[in-house]
Amino acid sequence: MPERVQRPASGRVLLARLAERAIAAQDAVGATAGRDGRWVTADGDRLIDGVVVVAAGRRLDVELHVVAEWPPEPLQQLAARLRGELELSASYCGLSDQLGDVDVAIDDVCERGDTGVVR
Amino acid sequence: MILILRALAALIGLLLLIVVAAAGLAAAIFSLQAGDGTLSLSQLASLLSLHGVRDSVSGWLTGLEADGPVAVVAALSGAGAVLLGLGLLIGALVPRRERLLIIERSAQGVLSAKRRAAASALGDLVQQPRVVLAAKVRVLPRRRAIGGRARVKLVHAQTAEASRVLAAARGASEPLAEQLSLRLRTRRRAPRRAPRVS
Repeated sequence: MPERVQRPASGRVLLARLAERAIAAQDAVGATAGRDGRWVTADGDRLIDGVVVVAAGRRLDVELHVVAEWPPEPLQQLAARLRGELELSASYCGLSDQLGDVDVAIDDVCERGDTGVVR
Repeated sequence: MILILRALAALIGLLLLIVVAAAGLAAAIFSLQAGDGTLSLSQLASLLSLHGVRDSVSGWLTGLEADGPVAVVAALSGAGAVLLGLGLLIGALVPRRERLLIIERSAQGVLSAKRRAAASALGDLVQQPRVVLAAKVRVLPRRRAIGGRARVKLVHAQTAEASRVLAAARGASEPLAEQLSLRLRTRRRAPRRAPRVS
């Protein structure tokens, strides 16, 4: 069986991975691919749920689709924390010049500790 | 525009379905007998006066083949039909995009929420006071601007004072509504009385 070739990840995939980690680092949110699994980014064999990275000129805009825990904390603060986390990790990885807008979409609200399940 | 095309496509699709179903039913019924029987296809043709239609249309079709005003009208009708068909195709095939409630728009990006998520969160809050038995929340986001409106319909206990119910529900939901830039409109309804069992 031929050995699979590992290609270097593109900036789009790298940013999607960082966005996935940024969501996972938060307590009160979880990523969601949406009802019909539209909000995903392909990363080799797997899909990164809740992250869509779109090229906008020279930069890459990132959309984060999340399920917020009930009762929701101030959503502006939540979005700021997600953006801050992503910007910080992008700068560590030398991708801050590629990072464009970071849009945050609250797709649903769920019971505490149940962010993987959409109510 | 796309909304009009979508509505037109749905309406014409429904009308066409009804017409095709009625025509199929008529054809099936009038195929029960052969020849010139009451339920034969020739009887159906005479009921619909198809012979008369053929006679009246044949002259128009002859005029259509030749150059002249009839041909111009036919060409314009054909072009109109093509445009209508394209419009209906767009209306039927363009995917529906859910309108999101935009909470904040900044240089870093947009913070938005699905209507259902916002309505669900507000619904949970307005039902917190014990006098509120049920609530229905509808969120109507603005098309492009931040925020929108939220219509809340409350069902409260008959024993509760209406003004107190509204105040309690508004008090519970207003902080989140402000956060979501939503203008609250609250209405109340007493529960329907269940029929008495004799």
